[in-house]
Order: sequence, then structure tokens, then C-alpha cells
Amino acid sequence: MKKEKPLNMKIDDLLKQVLKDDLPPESESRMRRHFAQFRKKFEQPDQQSRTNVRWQWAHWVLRKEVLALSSIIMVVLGVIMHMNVQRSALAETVLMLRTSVSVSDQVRHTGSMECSVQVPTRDGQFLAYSIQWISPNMTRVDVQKANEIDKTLWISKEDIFIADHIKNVMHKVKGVEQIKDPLFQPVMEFLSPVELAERMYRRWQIKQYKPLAEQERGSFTFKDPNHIGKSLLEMIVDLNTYLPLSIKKFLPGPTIVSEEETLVMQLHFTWNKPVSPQIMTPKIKKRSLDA
Amino acid sequence: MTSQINKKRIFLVLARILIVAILVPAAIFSGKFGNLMGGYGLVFVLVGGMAMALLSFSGPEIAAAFKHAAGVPGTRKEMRKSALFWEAAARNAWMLGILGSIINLVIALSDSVGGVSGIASRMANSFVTTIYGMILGVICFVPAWKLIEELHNQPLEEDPDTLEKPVQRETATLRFENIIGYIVFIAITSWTIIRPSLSMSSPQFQPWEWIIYWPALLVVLGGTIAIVLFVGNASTGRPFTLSFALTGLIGSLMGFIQVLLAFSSKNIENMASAVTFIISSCFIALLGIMLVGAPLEDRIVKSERTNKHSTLSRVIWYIFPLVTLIFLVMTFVLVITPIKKG
Repeated sequence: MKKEKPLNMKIDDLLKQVLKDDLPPESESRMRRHFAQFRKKFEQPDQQSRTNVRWQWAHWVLRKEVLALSSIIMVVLGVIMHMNVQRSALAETVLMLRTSVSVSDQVRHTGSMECSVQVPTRDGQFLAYSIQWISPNMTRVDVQKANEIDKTLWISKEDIFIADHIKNVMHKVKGVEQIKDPLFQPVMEFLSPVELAERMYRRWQIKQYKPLAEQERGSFTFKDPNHIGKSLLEMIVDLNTYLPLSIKKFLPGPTIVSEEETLVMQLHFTWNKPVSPQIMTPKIKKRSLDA
Repeated sequence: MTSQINKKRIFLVLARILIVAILVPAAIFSGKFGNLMGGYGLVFVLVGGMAMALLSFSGPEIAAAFKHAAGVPGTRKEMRKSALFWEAAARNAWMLGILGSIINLVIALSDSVGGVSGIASRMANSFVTTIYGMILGVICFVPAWKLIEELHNQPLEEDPDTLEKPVQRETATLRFENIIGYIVFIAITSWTIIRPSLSMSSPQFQPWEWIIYWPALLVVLGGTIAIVLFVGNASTGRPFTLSFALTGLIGSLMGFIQVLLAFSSKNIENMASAVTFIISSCFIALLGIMLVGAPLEDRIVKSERTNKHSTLSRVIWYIFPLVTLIFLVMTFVLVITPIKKG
């Protein structure tokens, strides 16, 4: 072994004293971080191999090729489903609302309306009404029994008249609210297209809408929450004109046996057909008492 | 001197709180903003905002952000984190407002009380949640701007913390608070969707039915996975934000083109189907950005692996909800506008 010279020993001590190993804190922390990272690199492969065995299936599922393939399948499937599969509940509602809005708008802007109404009576017969309306706001309602007109109601901007053709009398009414004759009450909500459109827009709750395959028609089911017994209305609309063809009014209940038992009213509409303004002039149709 | 400045700051904060405390009840009791009052929408934005804050930040970080907003001084690093928190809170409030509007719009469609008029009115009211989100967003942006301004004014000296202690970089992994945040967010969103169907006597459809509109879900998720794989570097969150927004936008545009085609042929059925696709695509994409993209990027920025949020992500966070809002308004107009026929 080589003996160190005393001079070298002295220089070594001097160097140790002068160049002390106290790095600035920032450099020291950086060095420590590097050492920690270096150690971690050696320790990690062992840890990874253990977890790899446990999560092998997950690694397989998360392989890039598998994910890429599944993503393409998902996109293609999504597009195909959107093109072919049945509509969602939201789409059904949007379709229902938009059709309903279109129908009420078309009804509101119509030029004339003819409506025949049948109301079943307790004796198994039908009470028939004929409602005729022309723009701007003239309405005539005939109440028929056994094919004869019993009473007629005329409504115009200025006056309202009710004629009793059996008693040969006619009287004037101040406002629509003053029409108290129970014979006219069933048809009061269908006296004009605007009335019908307003009810469709503001009052009746849409329950269902089904496009009917034949003749481009659609069927609405509404609920009238203000009516006694919360009646149901079934409306068939023409999808070419967005105007109603017929309305059936039912009274629902737990004891529904057949349609006849619950049918309250049936209406059939004809729209925009020329109607003579002369029929809107109030006059009594004289009938013989025998008739 | 410092204590005097602190006292002044505290007085300023108290004065601001007092002004807000006077203005808000005055606005409520004036009755002029009756249509804009929807209690649950506000609850959704507030609770959802808190949940989303927990997705990205820890409890102590949130507490520190409130302190710094109130004027309590902190180190440069802490202030930077607090500014990040307030910026994220503002962004979350804005996105939550839009998400709430989508949910409320669909809920409005599912209830037919009051006829078409009632549905249209409820649909219009669903946009109130967006206003709440926007207001809350602006409120959260104020401390963010203030803290950023303070950071700019501070000299660029190194923190004593970093000099004395070894630097410990935070990991961007999930913490306990983050998991709690996810649970609360999913709970409040689910409750918002389910709640109205419990009170409705006969809903048109269950509101959660539309969320699982499989075509939109498949297109958005499939597209997102494909783009993330292509872009790579998924752990930073940026590819998720970008891909969710892109696929959501593609889905919406597909639906929009279908709407235009349906308009030209006056086919309401196709139009309704397209509207559903648009709403669902926007909803799923927005939810993806909120639950995956944004929190991941927040955690990455917080852990100082990058200096700031990417500009593209920022643009997406503000523009995509705006596009969604435009599509929602379009849906509203489409539903209440009649088709004119001869």
C-alpha cells in the first residue's frame, strides 16, 4: 500500500474544509428528485408485472386496435339505428306538438266551416246539429229532430238571435254567455274555428298522436281537463290540409264496456266550402203544427 | 401597514356583500322578474357547481380560493391555484346552465298540462337556468380576474416554499373529493331528470327515456373514442374535450341537415327525429366535456404538468354550450311554428 505524503494530506483537508458539501436548497431538492425518479424506474417494472397479470383482460379490452374497431362499429350502428329504428319518445312528442300546432293554426285561418254534430240521447236516438260558419264571424246553428229543424241560432258581430221554429218565435240575445238554452249547450265549444283552435291550443291536453297509414291521416287523443268527468276527444286530421275531419267525444270511466256507452258527441267537418251569406240572415222557417 | 391594508380589504368585501344582499331581494320582491324565478334551476346550478368544483379541486384548495377571493394574501403558487379554481367555477356554471336548460326543455315537453300553450310557456321558462348559469359564471369570473391581476403585479421571485422544501409535484389521479364530486353531480342530475315525473299525473314519456337515445349515444361515444385514439395523450384531458365537442357538433349538424331536408319536404316525422338527435348529441357531448374533459385538464394544470388550459379547450368550453343553446332555441321555434299547407 502506498503511503500518502503529508503535504497531500494537508491539501486534502484544506479542500474538504473550503469546498464543503452544502449545495443550495434548490439544487439539492432537484438532485434528490432525480435520485427518486431514478430509483422509481428500477422499482416500477416489478410492480407493473404484478398488476399486469391482474388486469390482463382490461389491457386486452383497452388495446388500441380493439377500441378503434369498437368505435367504428358504434358510429356506424348509431347512424343506421337513427335512419331505420323507431322514433324515440321525445321525437313522438315533438311530432305530436308540431302537428297539433299546425292543425290549430290551419283551423284558425280557415275561410268557412260546416260541421254536422250528432249527440246521442237517453232514449237511444240522436240529436243532430248543423253548424255553419263563414268569415269574418257569422255562425248559424240548426238543431234538428226527426229531420226537421226545431231551433236555429244566429251569431254575428252585431246580434245574436234564437228562433224557435215550432213556436214560431224569435228573440234577441245580448251575448254568447246569455245563451242559456240547454239544447245549444253541447255545441257551444264548436261555434267557430277560432273557438276550436283556442281550445286545441290552450285547454285540451294532448295525450296521444298516431299517424294513420291510410289516406294520410293522423289521430289525436286530447283530454279536456275543464269538462265534467274530464272527457276524452279523439280527432282525425287530414295531413294534406292539417284540418280536422272528425271529432269524437267520450266520457271515460272505469266501467267502459263499449264505445256506444261512452260516446257523448260526434262531429264531422267540411272546410273552405262556399257557403251562401243569405243563410246567415235570421228568419223563422214556418212549420205546420202537424209536422 | 399590512394589517391596515387587510382591514381595508375586509371592509371592501363586506360592502360588496351588503350591496348584493340589498340588490338581490329588491329584484326578487319587485315582482318584475317573476318569469325568471325558478327555484330548482338555481339549486341545480349551485349544487352542480359545487359538485363540479370537487371534481377538479380538493377541500383545502377550495377553502384557500375563497380566502384569496376575500383578500387574504397567499403565495404565488396558491394564488395561481385559486385563480384556476375561480376560472373553472365560472366555466362550470356556464355549462351547467345550458345542461339544466336541456333537461328542463325535455321535461317541459313531457308534460301536456295547459295544452300547447302551457308546453310552449314551460319550454321558454327552461332557458332561465341558462341565465342563472351565466350570472353565476360572471360572479365567479370576478375573483378569477382579480387574482390573475394580482399575480401579474407580483414580482417574479421564487416562493420560499420551493427553495426550502423539495418540490413535490401533485399527481393528477382521482382523490376522495373528486369521487364525492362525481357522486353528487350524478345524483343532482338524476334527481333533476326524475323529480318532475314523480309529480306529473300522466307524463307523455319518462324524461330519462330520451337520454338513452341510442343512436346519438353511439355516435358521440364512438366518435369520441376514435378521435381520442387518433390524437393520443388522453390523460391530459384535452383530446376528450376536443373529441366530445367535435362529435357533439357533428351529430348536431347531421340532425340540422335532416331538419332542413324535412323542412323542404314538409315531413314532420323526420323533423321530430332529427330534433331528438340534435338534443341528445348536445346533451351527451356536454356531459362528456363536463365529467371527463374539463376535470382532467384542470387536474393536469393544477399539478403543474402544463402552465395553463389550452386555448382550444377554453374556446370549446364557452362556444360549444353556446352552440347547444342555439340548437335549443331552434328546437323551441320548430315545435311552436306551424307548417303552412295550401
